[in-house]
Amino acid sequence: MTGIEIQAGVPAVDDVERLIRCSGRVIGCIAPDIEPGVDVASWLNVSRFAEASGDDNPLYTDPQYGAGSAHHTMLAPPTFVLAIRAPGSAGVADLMAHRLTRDLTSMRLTWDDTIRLGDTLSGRVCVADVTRRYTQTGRLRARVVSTVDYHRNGASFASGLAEVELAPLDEQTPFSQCRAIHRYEPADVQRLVRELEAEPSCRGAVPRYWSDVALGDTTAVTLKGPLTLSDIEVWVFAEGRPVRAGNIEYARLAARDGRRAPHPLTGWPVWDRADASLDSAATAPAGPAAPGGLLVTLAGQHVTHWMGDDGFLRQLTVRLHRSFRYGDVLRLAGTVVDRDIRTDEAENRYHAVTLRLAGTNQLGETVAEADGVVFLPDRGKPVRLPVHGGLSCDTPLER
Amino acid sequence: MQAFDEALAEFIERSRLLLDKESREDHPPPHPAPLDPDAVPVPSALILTEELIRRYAHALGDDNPLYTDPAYAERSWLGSQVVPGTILIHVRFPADHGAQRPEGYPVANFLSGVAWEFYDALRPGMRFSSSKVPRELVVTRGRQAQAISHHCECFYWDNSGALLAKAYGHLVHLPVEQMGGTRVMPVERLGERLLYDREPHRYTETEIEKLREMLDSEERRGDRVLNWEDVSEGDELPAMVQPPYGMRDALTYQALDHGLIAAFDGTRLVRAFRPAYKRCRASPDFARTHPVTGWPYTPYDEHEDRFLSAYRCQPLPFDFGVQRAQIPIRLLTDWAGDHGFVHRMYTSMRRPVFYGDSMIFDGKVIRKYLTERTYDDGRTVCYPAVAIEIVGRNQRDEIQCLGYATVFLPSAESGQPRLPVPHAERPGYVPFGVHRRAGWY
Repeated sequence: MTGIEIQAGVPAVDDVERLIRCSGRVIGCIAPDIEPGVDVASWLNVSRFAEASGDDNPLYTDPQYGAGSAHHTMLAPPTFVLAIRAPGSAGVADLMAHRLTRDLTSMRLTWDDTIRLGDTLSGRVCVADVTRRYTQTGRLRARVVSTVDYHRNGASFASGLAEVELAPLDEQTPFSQCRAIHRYEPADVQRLVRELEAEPSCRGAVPRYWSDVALGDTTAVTLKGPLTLSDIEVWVFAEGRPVRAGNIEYARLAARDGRRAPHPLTGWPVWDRADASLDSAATAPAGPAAPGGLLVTLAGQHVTHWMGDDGFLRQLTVRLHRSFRYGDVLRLAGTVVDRDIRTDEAENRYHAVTLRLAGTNQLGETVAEADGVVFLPDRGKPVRLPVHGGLSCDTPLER
Repeated sequence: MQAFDEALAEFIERSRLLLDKESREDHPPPHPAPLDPDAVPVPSALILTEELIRRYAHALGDDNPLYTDPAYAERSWLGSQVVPGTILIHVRFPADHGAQRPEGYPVANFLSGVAWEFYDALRPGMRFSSSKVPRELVVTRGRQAQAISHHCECFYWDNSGALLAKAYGHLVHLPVEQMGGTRVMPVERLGERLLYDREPHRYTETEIEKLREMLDSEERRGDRVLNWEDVSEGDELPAMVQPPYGMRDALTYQALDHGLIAAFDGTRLVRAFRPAYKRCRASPDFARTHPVTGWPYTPYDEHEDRFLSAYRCQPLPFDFGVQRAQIPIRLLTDWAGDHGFVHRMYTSMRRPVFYGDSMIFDGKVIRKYLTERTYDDGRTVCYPAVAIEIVGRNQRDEIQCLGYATVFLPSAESGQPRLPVPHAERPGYVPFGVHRRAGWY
């Protein structure tokens, strides 16, 4: 028990202030709410992860294909780092009783190198800051920023940053589940089938050269969904966090006041609030929603699908605007918004392209936006990895 | 389209033809997965590591340091971390689903029982191969309708070729007329046939208090020795409880299993996004029309999804029977302590554990005896043994599980149980009529 008690009659918005106040003790410390995931890029772990985003790129599933690639081995998708540790701490929210919702609102991941089959992996998530934020309508929110560092075979190779927003449970947020599960009429179904059938394969072994890419180029739309419970479940398997039986969870939740709540249907008082994200019974009739990390991974997959095996995803920044909900579809589309050349501290030059993505649901609502910075090969100039140190931008923007 | 009766007759006939042949189920995924899907014995992608063992134990609801703390386990008589033998379900599911075809057959199947026979401890570093052979198929008329009982035996070897365990699995196929000639009933007939009438159980304060008290007071014997001489027939084992079954519980089994094996048709068992859509198109028995979204390519989450469980004639999400082929081993090991060895365990699933149901397992010593096991060269080893009766109930006091077990205990006279337990190179099939009865334990 934490000793932090909720006073009766205190409005939920006061829990925001209390969370900010109590979080001082963990700023700069390892996030108390982030569990370790996988520790090796085994074929099983990587193929589970690739499957979770519907990624059929053989570079991420086929050791033989990988051995014949420019990387000389099978790789893991870049966002596989989320299976090692996922930034997105909510500070001390797990440790104190509260009436707040928590939603991942943004994540930025940066890579210096690829993840190869058999790599041993580790990561550390720290709470960087906890601040107040006011919405446009003056509503108070707590914003928790966490950072992550990733190590591959003992050496640093990637990093990240995430923001989580906490809001009073009794206030609507863009992530609130306030409409019924979407129903598709036969004509909608036919359209979705046509889209899925027409979706092109990943670019694969054919290089996408930097000099062939122009500002304004667009990517082929990819369709995800309608989101099913299987999609969410496979994400849980891909994330690689331990899944424990009820009695072990019961004991764990004893020390996590902020995760415990009475089950909405059974009344059992030791239910994990986090389970609402994957439970179609407890959330009926609205249904659960995809975890934010899955959306980040879907955005990453869209980028790697487009760039081809010889490209390198240097940075991915994802801003989440609303939930990708059970039964919803997500259409991802991208546009090239920038091209430039960058140099690292070892004098390696990189031909960079920024791809801006938008993910919309079947109602046309924006679910997520993302910027992917990709290093592409150019003729006679393969991408040299790893990236050493910081990058300097050599060219003015072509705008 | 084939009529229901015709499809059912074909299923029975084709399933009979598969008896006594190596099962095509639960082989490794095809290329590009690294193992040979056609090899027999069938290789498994499961590799026991310290972390995997820890996760398996927690998935089972067991935080025994023999499984979770390698340093503790190294100090034990076993000399290393070990894992409950029931992890072998991730090597090969211990029952067979019979004949398959892309559209499936009109039967709802349920794992009805598993009998284990363990010969040795399982340790980090082990890898496995297996053989699964369907042995019996019996068509009966039960209380509600016709049922097909399907029995098989499984052998599990480690990567040194040592036989570690056998399992006998019993699957019941219930013919469902609403499915017509395929495995999936039309969405408009959903709910017409439900095997039970249940809502999620709403717990009273008294029930909650009772469950919490049981959870809080659960104890493990650990390294305190329970000698065979100190046990008497009629002794009761401390009860074991699992709190209300929820979505996390439904994922415990799959979180470790997913990706290890191919689908029944030998293809990769993909469940997410476009690859899952393509799989639904290729194997219609994998697809359900979602009753709310109307999406006809929804994967088959009948166990987990409250919107889809009626496709299995269930009113609510329900457990995987194979979970109850594992969980009760904790009842035995918590009681026997680190020095005991579970040699046999049988659990039969009498009704589903529905979403929101809790499980309470009780055990009682029904026999105490000495038994001998013989090596192929004729040497024998004597084991002080006890037979235990297992009874699992839900919060409504309905029996959801019955079974038996044989536990080898240390003895003041003969010391620790000797491992591995001697066995024939390929022990013969023990028919259902034998392994389901108390006398075998």
